[in-house]
Amino acid sequence: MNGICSSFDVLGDVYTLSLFALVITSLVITIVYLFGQFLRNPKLLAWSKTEFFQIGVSVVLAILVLQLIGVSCWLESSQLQEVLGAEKSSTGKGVFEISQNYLKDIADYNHRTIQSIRYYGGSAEILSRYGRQLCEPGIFICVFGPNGKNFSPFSGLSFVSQIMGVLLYSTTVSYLTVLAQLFFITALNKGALLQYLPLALILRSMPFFRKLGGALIAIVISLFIIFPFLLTMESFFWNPSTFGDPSKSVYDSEFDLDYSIFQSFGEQLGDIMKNIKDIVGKIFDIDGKDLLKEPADIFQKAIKIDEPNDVTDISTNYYEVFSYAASSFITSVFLFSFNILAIAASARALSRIIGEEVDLTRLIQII
Amino acid sequence: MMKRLLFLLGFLSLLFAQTVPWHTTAMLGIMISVLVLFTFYLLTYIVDSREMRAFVTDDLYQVFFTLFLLALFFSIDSSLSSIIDPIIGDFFIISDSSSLPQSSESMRSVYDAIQDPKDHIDYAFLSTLYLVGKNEEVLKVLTDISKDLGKQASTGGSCSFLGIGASYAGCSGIAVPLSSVSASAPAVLSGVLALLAQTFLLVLSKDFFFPFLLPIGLFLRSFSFTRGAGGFLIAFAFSFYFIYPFGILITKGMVDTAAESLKIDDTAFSPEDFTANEGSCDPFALDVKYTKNAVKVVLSDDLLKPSLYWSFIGGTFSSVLSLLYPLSATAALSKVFGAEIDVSALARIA
Repeated sequence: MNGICSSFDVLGDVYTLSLFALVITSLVITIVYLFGQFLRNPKLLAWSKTEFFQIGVSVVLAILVLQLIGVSCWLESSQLQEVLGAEKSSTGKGVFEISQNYLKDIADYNHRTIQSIRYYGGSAEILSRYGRQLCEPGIFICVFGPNGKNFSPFSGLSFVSQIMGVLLYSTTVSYLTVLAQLFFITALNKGALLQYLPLALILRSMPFFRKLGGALIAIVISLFIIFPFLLTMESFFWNPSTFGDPSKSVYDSEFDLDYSIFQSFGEQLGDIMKNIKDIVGKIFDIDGKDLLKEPADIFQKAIKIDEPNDVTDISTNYYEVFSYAASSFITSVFLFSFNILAIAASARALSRIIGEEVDLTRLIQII
Repeated sequence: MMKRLLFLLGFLSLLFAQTVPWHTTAMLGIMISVLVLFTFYLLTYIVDSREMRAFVTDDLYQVFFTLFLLALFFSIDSSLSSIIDPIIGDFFIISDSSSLPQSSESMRSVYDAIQDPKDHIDYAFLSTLYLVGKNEEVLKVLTDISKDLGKQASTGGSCSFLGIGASYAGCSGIAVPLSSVSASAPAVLSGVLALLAQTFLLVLSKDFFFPFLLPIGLFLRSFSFTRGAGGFLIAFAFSFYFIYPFGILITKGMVDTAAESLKIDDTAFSPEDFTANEGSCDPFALDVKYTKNAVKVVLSDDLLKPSLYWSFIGGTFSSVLSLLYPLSATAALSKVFGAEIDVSALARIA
């Protein structure tokens, strides 16, 4: 996977840009210092001395952030799993790859849930549109046109398709939320927003911009260290697939959209059609069996749908999908909100620390 | 000095009172923070900074308080396991695991609690599934009614000869009560989904919040500039692990008591009775009695009372109420756990 962990290209560029930013900032401060000397202005001299020290702090911060990102690239899921004693995990090397694989797993889970919901919704929709003409008092009365009662035996299954519509909406939102996270972490892995760092180093030493510079560094730390770290940890403790495979309910379902469910019906009509086939075959000297197979089968299956209870009832199977939809929602929306809250809180706390003026006198005392 | 040692020994006895899955990671969090602070403490001697030493000493005292918190959590968990959980177990009756809702079928093989409940989280989990089951029954009844009504509403009659004829839609009036039943689907479903989300939150609080967020919180609480965030995480993990399950159990108790006093009998309505009185609709009769009968069924007390009660009170309302307990507790406790502890007072205790 090509990203900040796979080659030094992206991080190397940021290192170069940061160095360039530091040189420019130092140059600006040196010029201000020289002006201070020339004008014998103590305020300018004090400012430039303070800023020289702040550049040192910025250098330490930049190296720390980039090194931490580098170190996080070396973490292997199997090692972390062993340390944490976790049973579940997504595989990969480095927090970005583990996070991406985790999000892919979740997206796959959500997609399978959507498939399952779509299956039941579609089944209900198709069944609800089946109609039956009774042809009363006898079947041949319909030769001249539809006569007698007609009805749609599964029309009430529109209730089920409505339920599936609601589930489909919530699960689609969950699916899109995960995809958005996946694209975001992929963009971060490609180095997007990492260019904030050199900019932050310049801004941090400019008058009135220290807080903005600190905030930008805090954003970089939150997005490149805390966000993938949180996702990686989630993958060790939470995996909705352990609660079952959403597509299993589709494949194991007794309800089947092929026409086999109607096989027990229309046997008499089947016999009639068989006779017709034989007669046609004899008249035209062709294999009537193949020629009329399909229309005969469809006719046989469509004509004799009777009571809803005769069909393996989908309403006894679809409840299982509920838990998959709820699990998708909790995993994708609730945990995502939690991650965003954690990122926002850490960015705010870090920007407060980094954006503040570092107490020079105190640090000098320590040194 | 001896007093201090005895004080620490008191904590240690609590630490090993019960082996629980989260204690290793929690201790790891504390140990890492002690290690970090100890390194800083040594550094203060290298750079000979009294100010920095005082700063680190202050944080080390906070670690002792954090250790006290950890011991408190262990003792609460031990007390729950040894005293309160068995009491809940005595009161908690789910006669047969097969009576659990169908939507939990997928969890049955994975989540042990369904087979053998052990702690307060397991009981809360089963209570939630019980309410899910009630809501699923409501959905089942409504689905059955919808099927019956749908079949009747779609019934028509036709009489034709060579393309000329007439058709009768004598039962289409039943579509009106049918649309009311269909409109109820999202409302009932939201209750089921809220309850199922509650079960996943319980699993999350057991598998993720407590074993992961608590150690992170304990670690962050040890440093002055991240104390607030640490306090919040500790409060969050504590509330969802201890308070949320009890909130669910209390709410379930209230829902059951109210159901009993309101005489909510969910078995009174049988969908089979639906066509018993008037029979299936005859479109050629063009009689409104079939529509009237359908409206009567949809608006009957036997159907409305249990449906409304279990979907709104047992489903949506109870899940929201249960969630309010940990959320309000988190808001209150994060101030307590994240607060700066008066070091001098702590020293006096020691």
